[in-house]
Amino acid sequence: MKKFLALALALVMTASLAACGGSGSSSAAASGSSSASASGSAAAASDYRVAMITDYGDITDQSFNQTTYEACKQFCESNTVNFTYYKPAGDSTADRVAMVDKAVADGYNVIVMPGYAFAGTIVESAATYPEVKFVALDVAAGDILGAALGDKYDYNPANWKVTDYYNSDNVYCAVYQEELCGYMGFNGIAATFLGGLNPIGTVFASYFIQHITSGGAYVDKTLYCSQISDLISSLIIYLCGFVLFFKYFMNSRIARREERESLKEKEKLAADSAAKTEEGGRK
Amino acid sequence: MLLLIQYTLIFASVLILVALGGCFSEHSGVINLGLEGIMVMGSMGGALAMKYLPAGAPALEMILVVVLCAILVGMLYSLLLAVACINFKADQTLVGTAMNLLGTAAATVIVKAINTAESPDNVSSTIQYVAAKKAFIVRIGSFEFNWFMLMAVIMLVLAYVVLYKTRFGLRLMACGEHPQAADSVGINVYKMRYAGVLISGMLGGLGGIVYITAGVSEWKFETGAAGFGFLALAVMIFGQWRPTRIALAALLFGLFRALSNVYTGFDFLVALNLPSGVYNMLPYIISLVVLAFTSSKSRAPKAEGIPYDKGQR
Repeated sequence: MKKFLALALALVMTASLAACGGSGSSSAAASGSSSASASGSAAAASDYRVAMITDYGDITDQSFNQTTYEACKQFCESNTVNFTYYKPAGDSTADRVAMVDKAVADGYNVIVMPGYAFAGTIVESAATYPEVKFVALDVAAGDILGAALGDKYDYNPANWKVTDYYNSDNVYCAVYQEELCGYMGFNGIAATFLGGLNPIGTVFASYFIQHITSGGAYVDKTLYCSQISDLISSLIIYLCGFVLFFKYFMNSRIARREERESLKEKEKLAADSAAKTEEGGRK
Repeated sequence: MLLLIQYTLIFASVLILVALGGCFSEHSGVINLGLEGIMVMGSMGGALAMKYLPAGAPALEMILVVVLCAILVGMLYSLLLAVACINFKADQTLVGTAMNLLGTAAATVIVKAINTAESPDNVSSTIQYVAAKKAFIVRIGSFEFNWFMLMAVIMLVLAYVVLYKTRFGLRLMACGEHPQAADSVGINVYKMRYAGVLISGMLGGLGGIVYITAGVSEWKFETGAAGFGFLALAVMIFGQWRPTRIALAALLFGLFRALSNVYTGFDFLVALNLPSGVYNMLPYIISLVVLAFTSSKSRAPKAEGIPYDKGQR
């Protein structure tokens, strides 16, 4: 039992490591699509003008700014929406707020802001321009509270009501689903059993389960949610319990048949020997 | 200080309920690793009941309906475990793991579907029950007494009496120790195991609704039960599968869990200037340490985890 546990643990670890590596790219893909769909709802009317403001990086940083810029640009070009981007003069909330002011003055009414550095800007500008729509990426409740409360904030978002601290009517905050990785440990346990407690089998089982999980990132999020993939993989794992049952069932059927056959043979032998003794008795 | 006691009691109630659920299931011979999933499903049932009950409903009606919904959903969900492990002799660890994954995923999908059906823009998996939650709370001075605390105590006494003083409980435990012997004297092992799993589903579901109403007034179902089902399993093992010891262990773990909510109220803890994550980790670290020292002496029901096969002797 101890050996089995050690084996299972080791496999769980490797499986979850491999799984985490796999999900990095899928979450990046998800972030691109989420930013696109976020601005998608805004562009129903053609009089929208979209402006993106960079944080302390540039639009060629191969990260937040670049993906946001490219997603916005692609969306705006295909929907013929006016789009531009602004780069703040310095790395401070005051500079970012100044850029929001400039963008609004230039007539842009949808502001896209990549990165949690914009929390302070949201707190200030969202209330100033209630008619402008703000799309913020990777800004969580904790970031906004930290910006709004300063030193008073205890890093526990559950203790505060975040909507009291910023204008929530015209702000959409998208948070990346980092927690998608969180259940990999459980998936690892499932992978070991699905692989029949065999190291080589585990490789295929992990690939299979991660394939379903990654696929969840690509489903049409307007119709389904990404948890569908969890649902499917957990159902498969659940049914794997029955696979073990079938194995057991078949083994016991085979064993019973063999037993019956050996019994028959024994009976035959017994009958033969009985016949022989009968013959012997007659003599 | 009063706040700490209040949170300790409510979190201990959750742990007591869920750990007692695990206790019943394991005494009947089925390892219930799916407690976490059962908690999530039960809490979803209760939260939906709170969402759909009219706001002006009398407190008693509210409590009864919410608790019944949570219990019912929890029991229905635990049937998945019962059917797989008792009738089909499936691997109990695997099915339990699957149920944990399934519980969170299914609850999220269902709640999201309901939210989206109400308004297409709402794609969150959150249910709010600010008004409904008030039915469960009675203010005594600055202490918020929660009816669930009383429920946990009643369940604790009931569990003790049922397990040790009734024919049913003793038979249930016999099925977890030596099912073949129990069968030989005319006890239906399958029925007893079903009873054990269903009771654990009932208590798990109840624990789930207590957990999500304990500190907050809305719940995001993507978080599941945040590992509380596993903490309850640790409490059960630390409590040596005995209701009285489980209650004491639950109080200990509940204390540390409550500390993470209210440590800002203690000046000397604030002065330490630790990040809140440390306090959030505490219950789990404590469970690791405690189990490392006590688990060698622990005596689990002998036949747990082994599917009952009538043909075996």
